[in-house]
Amino acid sequence: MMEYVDTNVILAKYFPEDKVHQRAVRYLEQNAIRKLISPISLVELVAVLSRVDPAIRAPDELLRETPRRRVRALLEFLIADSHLRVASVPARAKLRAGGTSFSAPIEYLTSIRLAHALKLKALDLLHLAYASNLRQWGYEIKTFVTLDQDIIGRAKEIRQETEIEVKEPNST
Amino acid sequence: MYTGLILTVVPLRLNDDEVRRLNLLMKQGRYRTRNEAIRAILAEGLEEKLGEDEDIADLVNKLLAIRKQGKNPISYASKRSVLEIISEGRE
Repeated sequence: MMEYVDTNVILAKYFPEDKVHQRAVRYLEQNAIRKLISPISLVELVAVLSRVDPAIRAPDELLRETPRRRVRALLEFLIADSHLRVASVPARAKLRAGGTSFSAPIEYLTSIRLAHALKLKALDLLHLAYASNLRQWGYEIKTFVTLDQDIIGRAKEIRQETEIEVKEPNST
Repeated sequence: MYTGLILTVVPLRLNDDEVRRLNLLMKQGRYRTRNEAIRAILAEGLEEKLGEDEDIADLVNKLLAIRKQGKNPISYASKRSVLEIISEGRE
């Protein structure tokens, strides 16, 4: 079983006081599920880890590092700790806007297409585009696991557009 | 250019084609000497292969070792929920 994991699930594992913490831990510790993330997940993880860095509780050795190296190490730890695999498809799309043609990762084109049907935020669309493209390129992704209520609220439309089920971590 | 640095001499064997291409770079005016060219190309290659995070592996392994002991090596204390923090970045 292969599932795309949204960033909020990954990070909830490290916020013990958050009401969704236990659900995230239980889900991420299921080793039978192959959990995929994408390059946009890396961007989002680094962005969030950088923003919440002052609130970290960690061993002194990690705290003595520069914020840049600390966040880099945390990123690698998070990926290893939850057995996440980073994946993307080697495809680009030619887009046209403002009278110019240009090349961009194919997820941009997919996101633009999904935007009309799903009416979600840009980063939500990019995550779904990565999951959808991975599926089309042979990764057997059946589920998009998230705690985001906007995405969960569009589960039906997402299934119609991508053939991927949206689930919360406690229901998988 | 390298004043103040302690340099180590490393014997290096190059084939004819590699020497020819290094000479071409000098002819193009991109480097003054083959030594300068090799060092610049090596620096680019090392940056690509290692970046500035070359030695975080030990740090990551220490965190994973703590995890193996059944403890959580890192956590965050925040009054805001994870969803609020993530949503803020997605607005």
